Amino acid sequence: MKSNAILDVMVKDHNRLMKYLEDVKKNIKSDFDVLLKSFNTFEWNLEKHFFVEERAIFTSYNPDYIEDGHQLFTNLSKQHTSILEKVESLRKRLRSGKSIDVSDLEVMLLKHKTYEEKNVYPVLDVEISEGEKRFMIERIEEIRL
Amino acid sequence: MKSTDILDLMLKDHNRIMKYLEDVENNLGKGFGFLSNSFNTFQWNLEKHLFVEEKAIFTSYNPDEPDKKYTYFSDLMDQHTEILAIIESLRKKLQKREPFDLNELKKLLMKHKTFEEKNVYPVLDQEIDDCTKRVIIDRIKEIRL
Repeated sequence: MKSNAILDVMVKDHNRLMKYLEDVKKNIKSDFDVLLKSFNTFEWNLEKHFFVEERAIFTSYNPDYIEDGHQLFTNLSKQHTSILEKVESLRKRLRSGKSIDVSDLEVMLLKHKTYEEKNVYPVLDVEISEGEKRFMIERIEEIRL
Repeated sequence: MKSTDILDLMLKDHNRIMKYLEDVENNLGKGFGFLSNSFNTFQWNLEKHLFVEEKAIFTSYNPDEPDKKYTYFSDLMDQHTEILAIIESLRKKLQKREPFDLNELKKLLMKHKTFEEKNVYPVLDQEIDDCTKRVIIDRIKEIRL
């Protein structure tokens, strides 16, 4: 049985991100500066998380069936793009002093998180060698998540 | 005269990246393993650098004249895209074990580095307030450059 090293690190960060989103939700009725600060923290941490996934994990994984791996990661990267577009549209509303609702974003993130935790990282942890895993973990650790 | 903290950090990282590129160049005639390792290290460090610039620096800077920011940073991001496209084409050649040369990439990186060190970071260091600078520096330090 191989370790769940990658799944463990990424689940931990998913939960951290959901907490940052929770902070934004709590601050929706608060003072603008408080809301903006929590939104900035959430966005910056989400950007780091996606960077780690796309540049430290997806690109280091070379499955035997290249097409399968390629297709899987292309879909995940597309989901990242949609999530970031949603975040950008919320940021625009925030900048123009309009109220924001994070429900859609929350649904998108939960769906994405569940998919990765069930179908991506457990598979990756089993399929790659411990050497490759160590290499990925070293890269992940270069980004303070 | 304000501090040159951002310029100092980014200049240090520019020099580090140029050294990684030099390693790739030194390994051009050597075994595939050496060349591939040095290329991976160079690419990963460059990607972290560009991520820091785009997500920690450019997005935190909001000048009084937003149009100015847009042209300025959108040009830099176009250059990032161009640099990454060249790297991707070199990686494809490397994967097929075809010979490649780094002259075009080197020229582009030098031009980009010089522009940022002369026209971007010194201006940014003077234009932003100390609080914004601290936020940017804290973010830069979350990525191990």
